[in-house]
Amino acid sequence: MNKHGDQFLEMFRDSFGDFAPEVPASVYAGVKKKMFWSNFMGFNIAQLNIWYVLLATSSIALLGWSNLEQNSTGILASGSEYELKEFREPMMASVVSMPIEEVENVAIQFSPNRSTSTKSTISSVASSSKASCAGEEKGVDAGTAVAVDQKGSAEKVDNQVAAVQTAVQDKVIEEKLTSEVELQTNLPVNMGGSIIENSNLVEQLKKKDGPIYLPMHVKKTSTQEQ
Amino acid sequence: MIELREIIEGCKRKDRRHQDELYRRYSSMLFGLCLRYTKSREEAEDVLQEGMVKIFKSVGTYSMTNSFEGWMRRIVINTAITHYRKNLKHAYQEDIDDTPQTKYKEVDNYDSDFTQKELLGAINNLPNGYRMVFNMYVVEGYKHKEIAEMLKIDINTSKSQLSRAKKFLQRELEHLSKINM
Repeated sequence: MNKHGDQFLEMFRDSFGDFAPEVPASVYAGVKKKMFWSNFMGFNIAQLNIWYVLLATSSIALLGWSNLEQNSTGILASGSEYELKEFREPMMASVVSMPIEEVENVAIQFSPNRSTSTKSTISSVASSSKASCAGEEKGVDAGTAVAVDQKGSAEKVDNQVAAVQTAVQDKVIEEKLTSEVELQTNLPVNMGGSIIENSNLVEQLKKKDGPIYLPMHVKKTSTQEQ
Repeated sequence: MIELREIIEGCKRKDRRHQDELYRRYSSMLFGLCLRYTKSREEAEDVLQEGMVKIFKSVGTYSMTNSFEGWMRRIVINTAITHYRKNLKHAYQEDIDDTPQTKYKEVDNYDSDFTQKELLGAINNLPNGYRMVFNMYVVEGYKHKEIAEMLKIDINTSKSQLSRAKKFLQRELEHLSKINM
């Protein structure tokens, strides 16, 4: 490098040898911020960092989860009044609203086959009377009425009338019983003041033979006590 | 006044008070260095910020045998080089061979009337590659071989860039002196 070049470069070297301009305050604020995040993201036993935060968070979450599980197990095991109410709810939608103390177990007897058996009786009676009537008509048609004894014929007529009357009475009873059963099916079952709605119990009971005992919680009311 | 050794030991322990003291003592000198290696003040602030974080983080690796100031300067220069390389991807890079060879009349006598600010302005106007080589060679005193290794360029590229930087600056200062007259 020639003399002029040296002189030229020397000018720059001298000018910037002690060049120290003032630094804006924002620079060090940025340095501190970067250092904080750097320390926070890295592992250091002596300082709070992300690993400690993660550890604490996961511990709290685990603790909370285990407590929750314990509580749910306790609920199932304890059978407290509140939880019993929870379990009864699907079965006794409206009954649960009453306090437990005011409820007692009552066995209610249902006899749904009463109408069915009556029906069968009625039908048998009706068929026998029909047969006898048919036989009488047959005899009349055959022209044997003249040969029949008048007394015996009068008795027969009386018997036929009685049979027809019985059949008519049975039919009336059958209709009445059927309508009663239908009434029971269509309406909600009312038991001592508590109503179970949307129940298909009556339908189920109708299909079974013999009496069925249904345990129910029935509230004592003042009218019942009277 | 805290001893430099004590400051360094404190910074190794990540003591906030010693880090503040280190910054207070050397930030201005390092900011001057950053201003020479970058095109604008904002860029210089970014480089200084990154450089200081690197110094605080790696102060544990510093051995007391070498100059601490030199060690810090080296870190900041490396940060400036990294910054320059990052910007290369986005900025138009002038190929050294495409630069027209213009003849500049060499000035016989340089008066020292140019202020620090004027000289800094002239350096900042240099193309990025020229500025890096010029600063490293002229102000820092690196050899062309070292510059070539640090910038990952050929030694001849480093030499030619220095030559062109000188010519560019001569033209700038000549223009400046004409305005001042």
